[in-house]
Amino acid sequence: MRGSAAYRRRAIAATLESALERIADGTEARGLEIAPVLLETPAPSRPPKPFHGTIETTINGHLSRLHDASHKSLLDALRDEAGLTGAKEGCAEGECGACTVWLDGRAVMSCLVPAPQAHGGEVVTIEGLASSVELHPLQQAFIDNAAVQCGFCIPGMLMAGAKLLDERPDCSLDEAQVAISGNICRCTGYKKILAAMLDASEAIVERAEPLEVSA
Amino acid sequence: MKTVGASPPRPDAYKKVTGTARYPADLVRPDMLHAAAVFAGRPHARILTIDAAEARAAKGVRAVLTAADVPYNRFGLIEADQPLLCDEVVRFSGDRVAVVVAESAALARRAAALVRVAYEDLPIVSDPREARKDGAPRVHEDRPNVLLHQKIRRGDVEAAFAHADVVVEAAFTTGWQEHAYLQPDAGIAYWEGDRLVVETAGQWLHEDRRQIAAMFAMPEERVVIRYAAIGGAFGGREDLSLPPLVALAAWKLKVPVAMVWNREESIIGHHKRHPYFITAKWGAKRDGTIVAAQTELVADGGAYASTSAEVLKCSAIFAIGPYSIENVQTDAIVCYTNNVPSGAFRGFGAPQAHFAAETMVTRLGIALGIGASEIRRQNLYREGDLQSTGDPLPAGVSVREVFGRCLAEREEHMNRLPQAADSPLRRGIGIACGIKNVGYSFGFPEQATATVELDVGSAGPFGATVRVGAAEVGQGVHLILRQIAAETLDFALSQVTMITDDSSQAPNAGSVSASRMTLMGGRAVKDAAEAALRNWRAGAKPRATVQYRPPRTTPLDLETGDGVPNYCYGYTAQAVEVEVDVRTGVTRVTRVISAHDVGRAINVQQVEGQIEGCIAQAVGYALTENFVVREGRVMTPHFSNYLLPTTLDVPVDIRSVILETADPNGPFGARGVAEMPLVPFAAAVAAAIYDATGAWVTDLPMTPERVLAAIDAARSAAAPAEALVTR
Ligand code: FES
Ligand code: FES
Repeated sequence: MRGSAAYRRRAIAATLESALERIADGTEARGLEIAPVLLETPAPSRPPKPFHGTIETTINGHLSRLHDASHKSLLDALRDEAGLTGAKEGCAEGECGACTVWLDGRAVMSCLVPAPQAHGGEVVTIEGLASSVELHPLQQAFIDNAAVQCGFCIPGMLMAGAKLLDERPDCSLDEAQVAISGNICRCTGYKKILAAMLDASEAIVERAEPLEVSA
Repeated sequence: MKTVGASPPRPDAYKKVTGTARYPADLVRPDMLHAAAVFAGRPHARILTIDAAEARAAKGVRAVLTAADVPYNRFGLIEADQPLLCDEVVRFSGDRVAVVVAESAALARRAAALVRVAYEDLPIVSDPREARKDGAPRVHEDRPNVLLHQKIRRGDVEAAFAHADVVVEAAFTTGWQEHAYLQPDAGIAYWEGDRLVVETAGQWLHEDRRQIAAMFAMPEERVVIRYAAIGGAFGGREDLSLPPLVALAAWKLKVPVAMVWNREESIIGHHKRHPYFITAKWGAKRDGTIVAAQTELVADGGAYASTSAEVLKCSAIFAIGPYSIENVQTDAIVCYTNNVPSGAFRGFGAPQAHFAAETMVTRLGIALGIGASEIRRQNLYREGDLQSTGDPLPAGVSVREVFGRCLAEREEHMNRLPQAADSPLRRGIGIACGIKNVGYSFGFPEQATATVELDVGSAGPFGATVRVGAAEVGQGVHLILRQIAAETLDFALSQVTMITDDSSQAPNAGSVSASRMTLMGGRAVKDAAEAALRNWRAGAKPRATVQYRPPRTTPLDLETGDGVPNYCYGYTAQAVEVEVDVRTGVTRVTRVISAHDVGRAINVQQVEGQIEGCIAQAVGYALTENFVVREGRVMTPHFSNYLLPTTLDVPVDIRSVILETADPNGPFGARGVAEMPLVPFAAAVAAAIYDATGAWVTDLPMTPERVLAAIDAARSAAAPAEALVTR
């Protein structure tokens, strides 16, 4: 609700009114996702690890020690200390999603996460998304669908999108939209990005299903 | 055709999806110093003293540079009226007064806050309508505030209004727009032998080089510009923002220096799309002929000239949209103010002009009772028609075909959905058309140069190296140019090597702007490839450099508008469906049909990508992106208060309709497309809101508050709203 105070009063009253009407009709839950998209998958719980100023964390499967990062954001620690520049800074205030990485199984905006939170934890960045032999199906789908233009949003888009596919491989268009609603793309208009997510979803589901053997 | 018309994947995509593409901020190395800018933070003031003692003494600081350190302290794309570092006066709050160089970015920023500048504030002018007036405070002491007043005079509008059956008058305003390229300005600079190298992002290697070389009084060959991966541009990297600052630091200190702006610095530090105040009066005959259009457009140019004069001339010629009108009177005026400078942004003056013109046409159609489609059918440009400049349109005027296809697609795919009478959500459909030049206008020197060298074996040529200085800002132009080369040489894509990103290695192809690089760069590559083949067949060196120059344009006469403005146009028509919540004014775009004549789609996927991405920016321009400046201060310097469209704001249902009427000069007939969807879009949304609610919104962006106010005004108006006949 942005605008003058008079507008905000009126718009809030209107919104409230329609909410009350919906409650009165018993239709307030209509249109709400039954299972909201969380962008997290369960990670093995980790015992607390004593912190003495050096951040020890697993990044893309390798144990890393970050000596000069205790006062930094996770994004700056990854970029400046770990030398991983795949995650991008677009806003540094949690508005664009270009810095999205996984921390302990959850997609996070690393510009908002203090680096010490990764101590004893596990970080996956765009550099760790592909396996050693092939691209993640979502990476391949982005290429095939021409979902990449300038590419600056793409590392964040992929980390959010791939997390959704971990969470629910058989995702819907609505779920795909919600999953990347925190990621700004200034170039593509999102359509080809969403198409890529649905394509990748199909590829992942197909791969998971045992092949039917015809007699 | 083997390669042209297909959609091979982009060669740069692999690096971009694996996080290994290197953007300017990814080039920072541990051995580099870091630069930070000291911004003025006030819109207009005289600099009394700059005290840098404390900053110089601060931890890790190597230097504090000021105007005295810049050999030639002036730059600008068209007119060099901007100081790199201000010496006497600051003219907008994003002006720079010093650069601090330190051992880390954090130390540089900290020390920048310690530079003490004593100012004497000067009176400010923050509205171009005020800036025009006699006695307004001057932004530049040595020149008047009016940067340009372009007139167009055709026929006699007063006489035509006297005989018109319907006359409609309206006033419009349009807002600033921030490019919000996702990668904030950044770069590194260093010496390589006796050459100063700047690695950064931009839109035109050789123009960046020209301006930077001039500032350091160096011959151009001793400055090298290299483009890293570029995170979007949209016209926003056409003016130099950060690059000469980091260049200054490296030039002076003789060590590698990095500079990275955060989002706020990027937003306050680079130019925007011009805001306009527009008044329009249009008249038509009962038979539907539009007989006269009178328009005044007053734009805010901000503190420095940038490309303002060119933008306004474009607005002047597009003030009548793509319509043939006998009596035209246009006044396009742009003034200096103490606001953030305005300059190039996708559409370059056409979106503002079309917002007014296309709304006027629809209103005339409604007033005449013939509707928005019929009035367009009657008045749209035809092949051979004269423009308001007195010059015939370049061959290939296809706006009627484009509009016809758009209407046919609407019939088929944009059915009117049933609407519950008691729902606060009202749906409506609007249409609009557009015209936009491809390439430079008004006599600006237009050329593109490319070099092609063939690798020749015993069985003939087996590979080619293409050199062309064309910036890949995300639009996919490197692939397009490669496809053109491969097609011309009958090669597979893999046989073509591209050298594109280094001003010392690739010839000047001009800027990636004005939707021109496919046509201009593509034509230069095609001609060079053909010439190299000819040379090889003739037994000469299998190599050729070709400069392509399109048909000539001329400046416009300032008083009449007479001239040859352009050599090529793109034509567009759109149908847009919206859903308006009449209780809150919140408006969503739900479906879009966007029809474009692209001449020839070299790569269909990339053309669609341009259309879809441009529509997302157009949704922002029309509805959400409200850039607020108060008394010269930017109130929306963050993404948290400048709202970019997300995937929940941009419809998935975007239907791109691609027509291919060959341009006589374009490679394989190609024109350009990148800007076109932004041109009519806001007017189509306004018409859709009118269709849904009976209210005309005349201010951009059409925020919920403005939509609600327009609905209130329409409801309280005595006359019932006209029904919009769009069928
Ligand atoms: S940089 Fe983290 S959300 Fe934008
Ligand atoms: S591809 Fe440029 S921001 Fe998404």
